[in-house]
Amino acid sequence: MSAKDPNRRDLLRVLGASVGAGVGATAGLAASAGEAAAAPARTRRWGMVIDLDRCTLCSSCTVACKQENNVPVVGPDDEHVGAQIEWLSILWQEPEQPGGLPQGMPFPCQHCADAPCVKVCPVGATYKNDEGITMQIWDRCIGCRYCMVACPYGRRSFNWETPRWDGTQIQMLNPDVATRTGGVVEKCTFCYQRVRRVRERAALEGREIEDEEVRRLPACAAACPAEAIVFGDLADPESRVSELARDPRRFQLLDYLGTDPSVIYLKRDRR
Amino acid sequence: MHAELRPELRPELRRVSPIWYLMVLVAAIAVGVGLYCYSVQLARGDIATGLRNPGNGGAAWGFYIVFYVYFVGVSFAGITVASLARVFHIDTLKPVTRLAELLTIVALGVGAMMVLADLGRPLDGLLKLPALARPSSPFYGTFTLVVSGYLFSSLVFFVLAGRYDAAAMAQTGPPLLRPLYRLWGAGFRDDDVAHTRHWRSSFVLAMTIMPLLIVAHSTLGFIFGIQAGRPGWFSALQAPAFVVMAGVSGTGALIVLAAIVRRLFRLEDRIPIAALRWLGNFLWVLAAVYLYFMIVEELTSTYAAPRADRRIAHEVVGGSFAISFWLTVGSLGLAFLIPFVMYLRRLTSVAWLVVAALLANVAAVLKRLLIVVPSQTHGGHLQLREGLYTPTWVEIGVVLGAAGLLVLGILLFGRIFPLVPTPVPEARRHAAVPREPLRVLATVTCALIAAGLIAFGLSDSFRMWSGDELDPRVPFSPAIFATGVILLFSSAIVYETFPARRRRATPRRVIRPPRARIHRVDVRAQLRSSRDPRVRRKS
Amino acid sequence: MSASRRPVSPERARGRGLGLVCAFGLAGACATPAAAPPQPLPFDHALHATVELDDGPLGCTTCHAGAERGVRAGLPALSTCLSCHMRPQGDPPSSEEARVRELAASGVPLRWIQVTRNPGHVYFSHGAHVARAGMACAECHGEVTTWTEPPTVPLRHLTSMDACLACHRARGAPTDCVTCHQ
Repeated sequence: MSAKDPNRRDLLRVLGASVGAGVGATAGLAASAGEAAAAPARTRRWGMVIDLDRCTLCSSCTVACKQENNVPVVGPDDEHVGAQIEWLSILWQEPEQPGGLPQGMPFPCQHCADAPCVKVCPVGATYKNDEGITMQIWDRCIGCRYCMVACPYGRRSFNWETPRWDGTQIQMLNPDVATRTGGVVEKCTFCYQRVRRVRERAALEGREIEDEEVRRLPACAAACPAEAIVFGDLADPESRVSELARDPRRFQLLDYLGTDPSVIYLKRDRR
Repeated sequence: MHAELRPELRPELRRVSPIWYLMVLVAAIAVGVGLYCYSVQLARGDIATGLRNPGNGGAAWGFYIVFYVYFVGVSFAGITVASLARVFHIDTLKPVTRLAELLTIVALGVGAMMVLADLGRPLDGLLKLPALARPSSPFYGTFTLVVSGYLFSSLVFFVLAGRYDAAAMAQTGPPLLRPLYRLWGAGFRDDDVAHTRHWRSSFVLAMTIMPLLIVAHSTLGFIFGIQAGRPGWFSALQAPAFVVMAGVSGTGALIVLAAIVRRLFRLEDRIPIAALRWLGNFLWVLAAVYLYFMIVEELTSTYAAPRADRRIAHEVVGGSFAISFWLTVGSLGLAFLIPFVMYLRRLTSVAWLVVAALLANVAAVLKRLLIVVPSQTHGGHLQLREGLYTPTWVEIGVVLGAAGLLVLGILLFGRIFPLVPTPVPEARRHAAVPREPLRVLATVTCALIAAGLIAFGLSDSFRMWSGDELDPRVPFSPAIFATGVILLFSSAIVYETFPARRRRATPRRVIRPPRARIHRVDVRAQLRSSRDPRVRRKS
Repeated sequence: MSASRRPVSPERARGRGLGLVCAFGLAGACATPAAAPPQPLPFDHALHATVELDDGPLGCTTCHAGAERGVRAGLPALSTCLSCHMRPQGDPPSSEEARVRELAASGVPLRWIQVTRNPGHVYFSHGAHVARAGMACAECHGEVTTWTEPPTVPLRHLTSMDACLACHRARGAPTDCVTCHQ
């Protein structure tokens, strides 16, 4: 799942697994704590299930996402129309009946396994890490915006100007997430900073990551009052996400494009 | 030798028409405007443009990418015309080959500037692209093949073809510029062997440049054509259509340029109408092909196409982009019709050709716009917000500056170097070339080193030696690849400029014995000073 | 050199020489990197390394609580210092040592001046390097037990990505971008 020539992906998966095993073995040499050997590395696939039956379209997820990830606020004036930065937003749809309740779905980056954005980035600022997250390294980005036009879901935003936080706004920034400069692309990262913390803590304590720790790990999942967003390891058949992903109501956006997204939606139950 | 040529064929710089000064002034003002607008963009950020997020209904790619593709397309025809003239011995085109090559070089430089203007962080781009670029992205091909390969091969072609005239101008040109001419024509011996060598090397160059052109322009088409997520872009036709449209716009630009240059530099006798006629024929053939492509595209995207494709097609033909679309069709149709009618009637009017050529370029710009923008503002498989893209004065200013730079470059060059190459008689191009193993060895060594750099640079760019890591093993391997391509084409320069074995023109210096020192004695003074009584003394 | 130049008087020559020396001195002073401003308390690492508590020597983690298992190593709060220095320590107690109690009495919070700071986009976890990879503090920070004054310059040998990558490659640690970039 790394961002390389597709012909060598299998070879590199084997290589990656052996390197991962090697890293896992090294990490197991915990000197001062004298713990038991750390958990061996395993191919994870982080994914998300969003149950649209539970979702009330309250948009708490969007607010939590902006708060957690230091998403800059772009002005509401005419000049800034279309320049809003949205990592997770609600995809609004037509009501079922005219004049009926609005329909929508929380719409983060789909973290496609076969991501077109990864293929077209000329410098490798966006890449697929071996745990299934399509990561965006803003420091590498040169701002060509090719990934933005390549994304079929339109989930990428550009910093059209240098973000500013005035006065006391700086104090609300999350220190675990870098603030970006103008001229770079940004997008949802499945709150990787939180995933990293959980992973480190688990490794220090010499255990595997528990599914309970990650179910509501990203900011959107944590904030959802209806528990509509569930996060976890799709490669683990016993995790909650895998269980939910087997629900017959499941569907994925634009699956016919072959992007293999990691976000699975559960249709509203209209009975 | 140049001295043997009839005066009307010798290379020279003629007095320009007064309009030259006006055009240079206008172009310089345009460049100034462009610089100012770009400084505004740098200061305020890209918010100063009309570009916005495609997810929010805007277009992330707009004027800059449109004109990047347009300028690179314009450069296509230049070197194609020069290569075709060489490979197929089209003597009618010979007078415009230097102008064509110049157009290619300047247009490519300006096109590269357009990409830089579009980048959100241009300085980072200038550093990171040569250091880290990934071949899986069509943008890799843009700057390695297009900028280094294409530009440099055209430069080599241009430099080698100009050595003959440069050597002549070193004797007869304005004294201030003679150092330049001497540098350019260095080592050029005006004999049949040198001309034959140039004839051969230019053939090899032309044969390698033509496939490179197709690849480079197809890469431009692939930027759009391989994206399944953008209906309207995802099409196998993009690559060939880009190649053909490049031909249309480039031929048009060359016709306009040739007509202007004929008037400004008073070259009506040197650039015969036959050359323009040939270009006009080329134009209508290419325009016909492109009209065919447009029909195919329209049919395919409206017959039983997925909803998203049909939506864009309807928007383009009958919706918000209808005016641009029908203007494009009309301009392209006239760009076909006018030269075609002239061909049928066997008459050539420079003025009408220029009109047709200008219309071809208008069509090219509008069509690029129609490719780039609607698939972003009205595209996407999901029903995302529909939007609008209007270029701001900043974008328009920068583009005007780029166009001004193109015009300025060509006009200024025409003042320092003759724009029409001196024809070399056929007989002089088929002399017997003596065997020179050293020259061949030097050329082959250069080419082999280049091949090595290409192999290493490309494989490392593909991260073949990086294991699990994301970056190339050796930093700057894309630049190494580009250098290899440049060196490969430079081997032609090695071949032609390698010092030939020459017979001594002056005899060896004879070593004379040192002159005997003859000590002169003043006998009278000696006699005067002696006490010999036999010497009569003056009393 | 023309012969018509006036000779310079000794006073003027001295003045000129002094001016030149001053100019060079100023240039030199501007060229050297500015030392960090003085810390609120003049902490002596070498002295405290010799301290023996009831349950063993004074370790790094007593003050830098996160150094072994946390993400950030941290700097001690005034209460940590006061846990020993509530009463005068040292033999004999110095005037510098008394400043701890002065600071506590004044009510001004203890604000250390952070000298080593990573750029905002870099994630560096002490726990991953110390507890998981088993590195010693001295490997990156040098022989801290010899410092008699608080450090004034940041860690110099970790100023670029290549320095981190070289060690990661050598020890088989992950070189994935997201390991360090946030």
